[in-house]
Amino acid sequence: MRRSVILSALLLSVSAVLAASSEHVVGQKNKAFSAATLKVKVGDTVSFRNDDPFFHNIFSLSEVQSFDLGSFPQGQSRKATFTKPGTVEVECAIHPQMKMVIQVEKK
Amino acid sequence: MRLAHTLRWAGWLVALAAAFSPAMGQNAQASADNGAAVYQRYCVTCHGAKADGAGAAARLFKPPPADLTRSTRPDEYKQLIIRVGGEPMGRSPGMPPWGQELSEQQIGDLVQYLRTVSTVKTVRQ
Repeated sequence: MRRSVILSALLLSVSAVLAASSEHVVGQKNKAFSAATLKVKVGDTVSFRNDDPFFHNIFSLSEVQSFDLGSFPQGQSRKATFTKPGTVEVECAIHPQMKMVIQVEKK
Repeated sequence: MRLAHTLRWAGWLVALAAAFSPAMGQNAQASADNGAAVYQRYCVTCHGAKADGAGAAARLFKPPPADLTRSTRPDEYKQLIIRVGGEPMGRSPGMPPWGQELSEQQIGDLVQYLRTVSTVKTVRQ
C-alpha cells in the first residue's frame, strides 16, 4: 500500500515536471536578437536580455499576442509569457531593424 | 537728423533680414524634411502617420501616445523628452529614451518637423 502511494506521488511529480513551462532566453546584442526565430510551447516564457550598452524596447503587435515590455538598459531583462498558439513577431521600438519571430506551439 | 540715421539703420536691417530669410527658410525646410524621415522611421509606429497619437502600437499604451499636432510644449521640452524618454519627465514610461540612438542633429530636425504638423500655438513654460 505504502509502496503504491510513493509510486503514485513519484509519477505525479514526473508528469508535473514534464508539463511545466520552460523559460527561454533571447539576447539583444549589436542591435540584433540572438535568434531570428524561436519555437516555444504555450505557457513558456521568453526572457529578453539586453546585452547592449544602450536601451532596447521590445514589443509585439501580433494578433496572437501583443505586448510592450518597455525600455530597459544593459544587463536587464524583460519577460513575456506566451499564452496562445501562433506566430508572434517581435520588434524593438528603438531599433526598427530588429525583428524576430516566435512560433508558439500547442503543448 | 537722429531720426534719419535710425531709419537708415532700420532699413539696412530690414534689407539684411530679407536677404537672409529665404536661406533660413530653406534651412528650416531641409531640417523639417530630415525630421520627417526620422519621424517615419522611429516615431510613426506609436504616434501615427498624422502625428496624432493614433499609431499602430497606440493600443498597447495607457495613456496613449501624445497627439503631437496638439502639443503646446516648447521646442526645448520636446527635445528633452525625446532625449531622455517619458518617465524622467513625469510622462508616460511608454515613450523610450532616444538620446543614445538619435544624434542631436536628428533630434533638432525632428522637432523642426513637429513644428510643421502642429495645429496649436506653443505655450512658454
